[in-house]
Amino acid sequence: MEKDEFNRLLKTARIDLDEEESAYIEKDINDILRFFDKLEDVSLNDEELAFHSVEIPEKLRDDSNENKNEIENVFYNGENYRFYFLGPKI
Amino acid sequence: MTGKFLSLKDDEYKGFISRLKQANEKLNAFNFIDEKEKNGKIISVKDNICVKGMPATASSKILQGYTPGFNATVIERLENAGFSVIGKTNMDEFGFGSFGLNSENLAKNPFNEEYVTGGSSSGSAVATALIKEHVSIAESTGGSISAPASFCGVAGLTPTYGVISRYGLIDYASSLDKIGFMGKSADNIREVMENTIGSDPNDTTSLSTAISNKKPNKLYVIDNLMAGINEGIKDRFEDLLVKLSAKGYKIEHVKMDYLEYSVPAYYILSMSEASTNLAKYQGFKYGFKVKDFSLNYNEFFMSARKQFGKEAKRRVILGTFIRSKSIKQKYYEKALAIRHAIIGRMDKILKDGFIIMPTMPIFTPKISEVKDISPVEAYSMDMLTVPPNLCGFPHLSFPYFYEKGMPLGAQVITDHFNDYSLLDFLSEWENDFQYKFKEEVS
Amino acid sequence: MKIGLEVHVALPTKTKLFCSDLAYENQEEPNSNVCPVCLGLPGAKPVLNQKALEISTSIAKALNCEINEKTWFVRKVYFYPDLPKGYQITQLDGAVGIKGYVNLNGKRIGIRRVQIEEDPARIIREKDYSLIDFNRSGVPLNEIVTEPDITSLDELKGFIEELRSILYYQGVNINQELKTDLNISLAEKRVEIKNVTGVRNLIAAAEYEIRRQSSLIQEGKEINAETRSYKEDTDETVSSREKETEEEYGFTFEPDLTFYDTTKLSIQKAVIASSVAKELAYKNEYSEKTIRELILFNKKNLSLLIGLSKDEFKKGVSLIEKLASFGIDDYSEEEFKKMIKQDISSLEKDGFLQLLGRTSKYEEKADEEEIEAGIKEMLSLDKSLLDRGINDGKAMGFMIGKVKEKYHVSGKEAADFIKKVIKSMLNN
Repeated sequence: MEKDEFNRLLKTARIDLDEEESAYIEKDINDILRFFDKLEDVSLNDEELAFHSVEIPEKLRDDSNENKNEIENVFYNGENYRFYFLGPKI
Repeated sequence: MTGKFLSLKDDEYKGFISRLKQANEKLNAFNFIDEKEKNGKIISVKDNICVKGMPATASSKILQGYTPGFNATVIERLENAGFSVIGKTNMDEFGFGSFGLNSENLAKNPFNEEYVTGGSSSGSAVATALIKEHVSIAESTGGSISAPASFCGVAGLTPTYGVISRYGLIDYASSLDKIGFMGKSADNIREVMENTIGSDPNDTTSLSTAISNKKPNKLYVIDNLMAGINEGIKDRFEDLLVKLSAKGYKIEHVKMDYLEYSVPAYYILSMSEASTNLAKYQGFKYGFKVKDFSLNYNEFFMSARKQFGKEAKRRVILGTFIRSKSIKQKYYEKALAIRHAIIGRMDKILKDGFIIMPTMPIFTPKISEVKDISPVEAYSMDMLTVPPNLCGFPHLSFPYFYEKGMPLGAQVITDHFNDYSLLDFLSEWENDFQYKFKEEVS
Repeated sequence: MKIGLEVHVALPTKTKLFCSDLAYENQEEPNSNVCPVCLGLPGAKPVLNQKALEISTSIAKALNCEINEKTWFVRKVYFYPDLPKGYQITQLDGAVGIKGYVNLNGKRIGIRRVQIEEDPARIIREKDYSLIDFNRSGVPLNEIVTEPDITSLDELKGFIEELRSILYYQGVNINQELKTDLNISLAEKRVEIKNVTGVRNLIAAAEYEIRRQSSLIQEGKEINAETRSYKEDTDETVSSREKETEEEYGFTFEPDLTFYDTTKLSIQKAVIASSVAKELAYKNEYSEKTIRELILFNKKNLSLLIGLSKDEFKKGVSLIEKLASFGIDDYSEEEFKKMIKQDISSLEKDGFLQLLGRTSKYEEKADEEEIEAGIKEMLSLDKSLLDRGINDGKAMGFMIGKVKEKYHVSGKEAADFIKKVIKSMLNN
């Protein structure tokens, strides 16, 4: 992976690294990608894709609010102002 | 059979808590110990499972200070069945690790503090070894129950994917995460499991399938999987096979394709899912708070996400890369195909036998020996625990030998939804095996 | 000229897409209608609302889509404070409907995809922070993606009217403001205008953008492929910083959900009111335009009119129009059939009320106090009206219309009074 690509990824993932971290993580990531490239040896073109390991039958919810998921004290963990959550500037 | 659990009378409670705290100072099994008196059967819970009113950090600084206002379904069910949560156990941050090293306060092996505990459910294994008649509610994505169970000399059961509801489990990789159990008695694990299984209206992927206990008398050894492991481990494992065949098990050797791709396939899938599951950590609604709201939201998020540990950062970056449109096919879709191919092959032999193997390819390492190994070296240590985890097969790690005072574990795998057969196997094993521990708190 | 749209519309369900909180914005305070799922708390998991799936499949069918027998969801990852999980659960290849079309005077406007997705939270921009209300987070939406088949402004207007009518007949609340992304290319390069709220603004944005691109072409200048946003106060589009590219969204299968079978759902029949209007006009030799106006957004009128014989038709239309002009709308189909048999040509409002045996409701004119309280309520219900600056006169017209309709008042005097009340509230 090129340096530019790596920096673009950091931006996309909203990860900010200092210089020291950046150096070793970039190296690690290239090592790991080489490890992943092992998959290139195998061709499984007709194989199905297993999104889950067991069959997950569909589970649908009735359009009713009788069994509402519970939560105690919505604002306990976040700052709020007049019942709004405070968030960063947009 | 019902289990036997530690429950405390009111006047015993304070003493127990202070003894537990004292032991914890040295071993770091717990991120949080609840001092409020409880009269139920004592269990502990991995710190990535939400217990109402107790901190939940998944050992991440980004969740520091977060106290969920709701219970995970497993907790709701266990509390209704008379269990009480004593505290939240240490772990690798978000479950990212095989040795327990990715945590601010390193958990120590209860047999010898210079050695690793295994991960990611490090604290659950230590708590189980430490507390009398204990079961810890743990979680495995790629081996996070088996590895620490093996290194800490306890039994660890990872159920079939979907059998235990994940509602309230802080996600690592949703298609791989499985809540499971550590204990030192098959009866105890069975009692906890029986009270937690079953479909949950709050988790789409939780299943109502009945769990069977068809115990085969055949044990398959996958020869090509044994190739890369330590010679000493191989010898001990051979001895185990001799013992088991004396008990009437038929040992059969087979080869299986694609297993050598299971570790990269697992890391590809788990990292890409993890990179989406960790997108919610932004520093304002819960957990770590960025104080300065006047930062532009992008800078604000970047500043919050500095709290991730180095392994979390690596996985988020790599996962983001793997998901990008132009290379998704090369890694992500290939990994899904490999998962499908391996499920098919394992499924076939699991129809009439267990698969058996050592749990880890090495003896319990010292902390100093693995502290600085590269990520790829570390990931490769999961070669034996990854295949059943990738494919959602239930598996059990059980202790079978003590090598220079340190425990050794082996792993049996069975077919989807045949989880109880593993506990029957464990019951049978416990008939002639004596768990050993250095100290027990009660 | 090529125009393509991505239209977002809220579905008429009682509860949210993946949790049991109420789906409509109510009068309660912010963040009163939330749970771990729609707050995106660690550990929460989504469970799909069956009704939302049924309505979406019905809409996709009404838009002539091929229905995916197995439909599934993806995570679209991007970072914005109103998006609680850091990803939106939406659909792509596994969308409920693909490859559909809308018939517009014999021409087909292609529908690329009808997809189900969750609405983010409501966010209010303040100088040094933002305020977030998760009551809206998780409200079920359909995103309807068209092919770039629209080739003129008239076609755009016609398409939107047709689409709204089809959605109305699927039970969608048609008074909601549609949120649309619009792409327009007069030359090769594609310009996207994101997040346009309301039909009026959509047309204004398209008009401006067509003018802008034409004059660039005339001047021999290059048109940049870019994302722009529409400014309501000046009716312009301005270049905006690109948020994420397709590549960066990193769409991936939503592993907390599974595949859903669309073949066993109860599907609502499609009603294409514009086609019905065409048939009625032909059969009854009557003005298609008039019929369209009566039935495009009125189920009752449609059912009244299709029940009429050719002899009754003309009389039926004028009866409907007359009753409407008197503000009488609560008559039943039987009453309508009775009325049509009688001589009603000379009846005025009181005569109709007598005929229907109604008195009280229409005699009491809403007094000013009641109207004032009503306006307050409307503004507190839909705070976005305040956010978008109702003061500028455009949203004002909309509000005045709504209040007039609700209280059966008319005339300039009433309009002035309503305006006065709203302005006084804004200044507080």
